Amino acid sequence: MTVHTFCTLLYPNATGLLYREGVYIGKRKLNGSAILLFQLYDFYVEITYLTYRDQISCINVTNNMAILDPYLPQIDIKEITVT
Amino acid sequence: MRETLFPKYKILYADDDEDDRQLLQEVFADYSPHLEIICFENGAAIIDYLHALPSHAQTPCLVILDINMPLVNGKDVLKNMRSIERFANTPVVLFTTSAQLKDKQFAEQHNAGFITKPIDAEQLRTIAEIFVDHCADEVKKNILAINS
Repeated sequence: MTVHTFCTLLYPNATGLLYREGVYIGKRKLNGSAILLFQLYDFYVEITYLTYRDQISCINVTNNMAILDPYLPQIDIKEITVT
Repeated sequence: MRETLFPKYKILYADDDEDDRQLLQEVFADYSPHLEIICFENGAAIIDYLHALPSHAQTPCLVILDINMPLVNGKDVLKNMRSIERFANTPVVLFTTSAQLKDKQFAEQHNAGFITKPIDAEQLRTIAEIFVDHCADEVKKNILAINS
């Protein structure tokens, strides 16, 4: 699965796949809207809500790691740190 | 005012995310006044509540735990509950943001359910029924009878 093939999936197949396979990274708020970021395989999916966990206003899909920037303060590195 | 002969069942829900706490209260709104949802902001608060519950008080019909919470996480709350005879068989669901295999296995090992938080209306639509399905058969029967 690539960014391109994910983008060709029709709703609700795309969100269903994200629900089953996505790994939650973090949450932020922008202008009162909740935004959730997930990692799916080797790319990222960011969901912006009209109503939280219900009506989606926008899905942003990218493999650019810059999308992580606003979430970095809340990412728990304990589980990815090699000890 | 119409009175019900059925007891008001209590669901306890611990989650540090205010939006998720509000969401579940809305999700169970159709089941009130027969179900009461009591929310906690962290794992320590729900443990304190359970430990302070008088022996004659009704035990919760379901405990819903977020995994990543401050002070005490959901897995440690679950382990704590299972170490107390009174709560050893209380229905518990780990309610979390990702369907991680290790978390699912942890839930199974501790006789708990595992539900991934919904990400859209499609999954949100049925979430209350899925939660109720984890309650004891008698509770389930009464709740469904009341709501039918």
